[in-house]
Amino acid sequence: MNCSNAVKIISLVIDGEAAEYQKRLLDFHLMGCGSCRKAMSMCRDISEIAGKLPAPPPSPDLEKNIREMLHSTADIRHSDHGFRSAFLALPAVAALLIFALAILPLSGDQESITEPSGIEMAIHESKNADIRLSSKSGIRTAPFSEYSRQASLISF
Amino acid sequence: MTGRIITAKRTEKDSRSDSELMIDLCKGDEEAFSEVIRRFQAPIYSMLIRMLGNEEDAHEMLQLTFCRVYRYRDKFDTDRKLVNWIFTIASNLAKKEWRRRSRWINVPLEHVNLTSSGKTAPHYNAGRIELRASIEEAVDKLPPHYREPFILREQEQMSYEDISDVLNIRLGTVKSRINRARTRLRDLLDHVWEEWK
Repeated sequence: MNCSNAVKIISLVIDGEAAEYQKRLLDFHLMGCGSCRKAMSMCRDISEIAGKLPAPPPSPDLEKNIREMLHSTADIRHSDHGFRSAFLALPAVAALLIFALAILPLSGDQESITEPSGIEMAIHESKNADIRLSSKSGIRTAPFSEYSRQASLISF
Repeated sequence: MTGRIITAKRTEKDSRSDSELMIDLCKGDEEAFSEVIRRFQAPIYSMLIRMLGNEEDAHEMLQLTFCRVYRYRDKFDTDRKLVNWIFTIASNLAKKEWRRRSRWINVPLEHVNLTSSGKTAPHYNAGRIELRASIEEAVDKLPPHYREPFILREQEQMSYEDISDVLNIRLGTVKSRINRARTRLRDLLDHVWEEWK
């Protein structure tokens, strides 16, 4: 085992995460390596002291401050929501007004465009005058005269 | 090795488990929220002080952490440990603060070495070089991505699995970063340790 691997196992041993075979390999390596023994000793001391570094306690007003913060952000969210809804509704209202104004002036011309003229209706009816409606199937068929042709010398 | 978290002792009046507290909090029990704050304020504050280097920022982040716990209480997964979830929130807020600081001084995050501000822990006795103070200072000089798992391991006694869950990194990455943190600390403390020994 080289020192690079030994150092990794030292970290695992200190944290109690090393397997048995790793501990044995490390012990064997430490017997012959002074720098790794020093590294092991340093890591143990650092770990022991770092784990006991004191920290000042939090403020006794912590909960009160948290509740005030929650209350104030809740108020901001409510007012923001109302303001935002009104703000978003404005373009929609404007669009509706524009659409309504656009439709009103055009409503008088629509009848002359959509309804067919009287002459066009007459032409349409004359074309369809000979079409008969079959009483059985409701299929419109052309009159018999359309299918017949003048007699001619027909060779069979 | 199972990790243990140093939390405030549970009072006799509230013996609910962490999951039960969150369930009650989701139902609207404000006392449950008070209990959550009481149980976890100390370890979270301790971690934030080590991460951010001063009490003022740590206190602000602590308040924001619990605000987020309250606001997103419905999103808590009861299969997960509550302590890990709260530490994750605190850790993410601390990272956001680092990024904000690194933007000020225009230094990539990997090269930011946060040093202690003037408001150091009161136990440090200026004029006497103690190993403990040196270790504290050296920990403050660690890069954030090494410091975080190291603090969670040494101060909060978290297992590697819990650290992996809190920081959302792989188990191998946790081991690697803790090992590199220790290597960096040995380099920083070599001369001090020799004198102390």
